[in-house]
Amino acid sequence: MKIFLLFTLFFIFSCAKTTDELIESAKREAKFHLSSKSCSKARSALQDVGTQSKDPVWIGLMSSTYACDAGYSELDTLFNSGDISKLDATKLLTSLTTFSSSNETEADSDAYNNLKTAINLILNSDGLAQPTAAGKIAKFGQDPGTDLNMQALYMILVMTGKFFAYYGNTNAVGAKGAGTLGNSCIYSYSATDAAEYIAAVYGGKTCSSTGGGEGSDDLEAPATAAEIKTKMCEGIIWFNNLLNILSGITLSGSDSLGDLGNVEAAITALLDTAEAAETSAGGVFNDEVVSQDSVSTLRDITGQDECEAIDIAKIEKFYTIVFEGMLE
Amino acid sequence: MIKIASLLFIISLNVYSSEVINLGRSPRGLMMGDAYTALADDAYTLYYNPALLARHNGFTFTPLNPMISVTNVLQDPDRFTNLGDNPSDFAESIMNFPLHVGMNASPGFKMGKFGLTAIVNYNSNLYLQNQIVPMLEIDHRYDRGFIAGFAWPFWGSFDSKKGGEHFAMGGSLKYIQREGLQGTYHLTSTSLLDAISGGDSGSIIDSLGKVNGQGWGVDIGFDWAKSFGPSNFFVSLAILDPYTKMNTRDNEKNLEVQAQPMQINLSSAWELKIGPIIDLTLSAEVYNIHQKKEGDDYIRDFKMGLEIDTPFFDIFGGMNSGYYSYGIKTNLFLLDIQLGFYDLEIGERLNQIRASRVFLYLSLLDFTFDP
Repeated sequence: MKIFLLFTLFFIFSCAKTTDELIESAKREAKFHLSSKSCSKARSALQDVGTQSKDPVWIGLMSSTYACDAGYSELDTLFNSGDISKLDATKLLTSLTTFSSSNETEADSDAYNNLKTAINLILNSDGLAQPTAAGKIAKFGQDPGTDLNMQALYMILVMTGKFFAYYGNTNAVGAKGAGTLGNSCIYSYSATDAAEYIAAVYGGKTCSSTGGGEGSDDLEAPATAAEIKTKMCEGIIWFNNLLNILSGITLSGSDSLGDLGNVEAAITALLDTAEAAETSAGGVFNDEVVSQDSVSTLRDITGQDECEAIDIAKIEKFYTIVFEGMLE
Repeated sequence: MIKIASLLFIISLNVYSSEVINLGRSPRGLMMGDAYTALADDAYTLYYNPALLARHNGFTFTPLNPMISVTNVLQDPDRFTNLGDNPSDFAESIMNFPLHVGMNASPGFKMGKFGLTAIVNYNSNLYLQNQIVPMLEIDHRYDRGFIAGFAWPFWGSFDSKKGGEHFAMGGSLKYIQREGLQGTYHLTSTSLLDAISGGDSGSIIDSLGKVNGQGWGVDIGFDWAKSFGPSNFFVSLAILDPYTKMNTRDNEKNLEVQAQPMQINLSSAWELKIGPIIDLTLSAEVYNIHQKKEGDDYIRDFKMGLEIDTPFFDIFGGMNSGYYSYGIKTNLFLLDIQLGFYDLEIGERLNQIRASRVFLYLSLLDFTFDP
């Protein structure tokens, strides 16, 4: 009788899971669902335990659920497709637009927005106004921080390709303006210095707002000025965070990463050249006050809000000197 | 009774994990769905329930009993026919397929109600999950040590061969030296890519953060056994690792060796002589009775087993978390051979992730002296 009473006590005093155990359980559940690409089930499992802003694994998994909704998968999208091997550090934007995932046919598609959410979850996880790779490592530790940075890096490569393929209207080999959308430039520029730079440097092109329809239709009316600035800042944020992550981690020497290891040095040199070009020719490309020093101002901006606080004229000139040039 | 209730609150140091990796598992137990806490009166007694030493008389020596277990690739033979020639192809092959390799030996002896078993257990599990951001889960451990136990019947007397009735309690003390590696690694992140480029498996394990530790622990068990004519009936309770403290040596990454989570397992078994040459054994067990269970947890934590014992070979079958196990044993004078297949649930819920394994066990030169 005493034996059965003893056994009964075990059932009565059975232990429920602690909070930490529930969180670990939720993460395992999410990984299981992500293994079969059940994106919403994975997200529900993580949401059941609430936001875990100090848990890098939770953050990475939550980001994965949105990337899953975007149809993204590291192995399929980058490695199995062979896209990572297309990466060319000397022609970064052009090579990214040739990725098989650079296939947007509309602005703000579900795939684009979900991937944007996935990336921003990681970028903003360090809690800094200007997210940095070092900030994540400082907050989460060397290995977990590096894992988050790498996860974001791969998604940003895909996102940058999507962005510039669509707004640059590139074709299968990355030629700007040769796609099916009709625009020959990313934007129809109105800032004075921007227009002067294009006329002087890009072989007679205008890319001007007065020329009619040379920029992407999604970066002109009926889109509002605020919407246009938001869009253009997204391009800058993907690009700058890509460089910031590459500068903040030490990449493996593995062959499977293609030319990724050479990107930071190549683009840093390019930006240095762009900064010098902006102030060259007696300052003729830098005498419009509102757009002065656009490259030096914007090259280190990694936060969307910080970018949108900057005058549109600077953003326009940054696009003309850096992005239009990289896609030429 | 109040003291017992208090004790139940104190010893709630349990850890929920998808697969609990024990210091050792009996091959007979694995073939019987691991419903073995009431039946483990073999070389693996001290891994399951020290109270079962109370059924032992005389002297038993098990000097050599190696066992090897691996993933049962026959469950999915097409998966490995083309592994490709690059890491991503290989990842596709092993995605969602638990990989396992284990080797262990448990040499030891029992003298009356006292037992001593050496622990030599190598166990490595790999599991690649998450199609979006592939994550490789690794649990590698190499344990060495010993378990020493003693049991005493509170009342009565029971012998495995002669029967009787007793209620016994047992306890054991264990020492574990552990070399371990446990973590989740992003397949495409720098830490794993750098480690893989390091060369041999030893270098890879070191690069990923292998740590060493050691510790002491205790187990407690209870056993009620009674003969009813040609049959024996058992009810046993084992409280494993209510206190096992592992201390990790200082390391760069401040990692810890894997802990030994507490288990409280309740089991019953029935042995029956059907005829002059056939014995039948049935067993059932509830795993971790102290953990709150909901819905499918009751099925997940329930095990059952069957053994048909004939003069030439024994046939086993069982069910563990809804998955089947089976195998065969034959005894060739001083050589005991067992071959078994068993499946485990390693996911968070019932029928989530199935790990299929096969083992081969050899025991040489066992002998028993019972005056």
